Amino acid sequence: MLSVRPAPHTPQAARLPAYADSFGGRAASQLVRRSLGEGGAERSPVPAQAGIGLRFPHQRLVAEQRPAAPWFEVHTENYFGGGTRLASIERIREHYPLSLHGTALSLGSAGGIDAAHLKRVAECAARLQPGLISEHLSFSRVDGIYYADLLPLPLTEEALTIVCRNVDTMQDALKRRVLIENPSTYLQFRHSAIPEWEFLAALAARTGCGILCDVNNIYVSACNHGWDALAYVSGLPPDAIGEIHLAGHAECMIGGVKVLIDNHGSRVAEPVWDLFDAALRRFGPKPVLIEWDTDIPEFSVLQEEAARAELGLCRIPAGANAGAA
Amino acid sequence: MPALLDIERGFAAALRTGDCTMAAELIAPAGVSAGDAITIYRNTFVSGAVKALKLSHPAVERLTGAEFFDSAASAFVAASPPSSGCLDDYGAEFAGFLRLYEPLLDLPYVAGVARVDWAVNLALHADDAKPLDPGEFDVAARIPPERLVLVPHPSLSLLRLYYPGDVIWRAVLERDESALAALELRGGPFFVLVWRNADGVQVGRVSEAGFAFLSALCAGRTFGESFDAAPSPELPVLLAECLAAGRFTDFREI
Repeated sequence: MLSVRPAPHTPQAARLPAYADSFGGRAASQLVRRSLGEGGAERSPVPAQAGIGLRFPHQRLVAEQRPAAPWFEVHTENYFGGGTRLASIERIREHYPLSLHGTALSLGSAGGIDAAHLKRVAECAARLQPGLISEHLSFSRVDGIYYADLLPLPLTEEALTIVCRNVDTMQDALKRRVLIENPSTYLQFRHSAIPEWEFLAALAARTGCGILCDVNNIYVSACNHGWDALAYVSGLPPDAIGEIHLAGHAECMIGGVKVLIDNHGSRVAEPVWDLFDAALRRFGPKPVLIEWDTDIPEFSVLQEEAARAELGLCRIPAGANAGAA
Repeated sequence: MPALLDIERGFAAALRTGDCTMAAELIAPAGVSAGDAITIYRNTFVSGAVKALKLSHPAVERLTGAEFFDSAASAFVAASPPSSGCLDDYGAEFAGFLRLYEPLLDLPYVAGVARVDWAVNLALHADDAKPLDPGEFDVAARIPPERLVLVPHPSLSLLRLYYPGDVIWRAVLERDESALAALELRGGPFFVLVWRNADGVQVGRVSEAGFAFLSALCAGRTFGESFDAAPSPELPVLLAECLAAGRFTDFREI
């Protein structure tokens, strides 16, 4: 019986990556253009502290009791349209910085991204004025069908060109820099030629986007594919990192083989905390997020996980990626 | 090397049909077989879409049982996969699918319950809009009826049901056994309104004439044409009720 992962459901002062110019003339001009669009008056920046992924079971508690948390992240697609969900998150937004994490724009679609979906993301962002907006390095839409998962891409020059084009379209529509997250993957394509961390670094350099480094996803993919997780972290450009994600995963046996599944259904695993420390040493302080989507526990459990992440942030040695905070 | 579009199409076909033979050729050899790895993604896709249907059709799920619902919903996902990246939008055709779903042919009222579920789902997520103040309608009342058009609230749905799907919907969700026991399936059609106002989602009924009048108004017909659709002395009262209940947001003169 195969495990089922949770269905995927959801900004930051401009900093020009120093290495951007080495990727050609296109990068620098785009980065300057992006930087002009940032820093809207009503946007609360997301701080380099440990926030919590806010899901429906806790939304009312947060709106009414305003528990201690430095910031929240929600899934963008859950706040399309109107009604009480949106009204409640608007209330929460008045008191906490917010990050919008999209799951369905399908930036890897060879056929381009869905303009109607992007328009709704832009409307949602205009209404909620999030401090960060992020999406995934994956595809989920083919020939008009939405496959409701973060599907893996072949990591090729062609795919890089297409993802860059789609990220450009997204950033142009939103008039701001977005963060792109590394996915958990369960297979690799024969044709993949570029290591995932190099693919992300090139994407950031070419489009001016930032990277949302999901440390659990690195660990899961590294275990599933025999990659070196530390080498992955070392291969990411620290100045492009705009946020870090942490979550729990599950270990499953499939056909007699151990597979790690990114189910967001438990506390962060110990080896992932170790990798998190290594990531912080390399990247410096960044906004960190605790995600939990399956068997969602009491809010206090999420606060405990966030407190542990906050400890990690406090322990960053002086000088770690100095100036990148 | 195949183009990205072809790889995506091959992978998508495996997710839709469950046949991984072609897609497996795209996958690099690993400990886990390509078929098993693709199945991890397929399970997430199908279960995510089924869960979306469960959230939008809670009364149907409770009425038919979780196991039956999963099986019907999985069949629907295979026949009509989602097109929108927002899964709140998924399931508009589920009621129509259930109406023709063979295991439910003897229980034709289930499709009507699904229509109420779906209308409630639409009302929950519809765009916000400020209802028209009944006081402002005094201005509208000065516009000749043949030139007056009303704008319905984005959450408003009008349903013509052969069975009392609204009564079953409420009884099932409230676990009201006595209402279900007293249920009279005959006597239709029933004319049901679903909309959202400041108090939340509302489910109500109107007469056949009222339904014809409101259907015409919602289709953008003028006040005069809508009145003529089924003239009845009750329509002015119904209109006042609609305004008080927040079912319209604006008016214009054409």
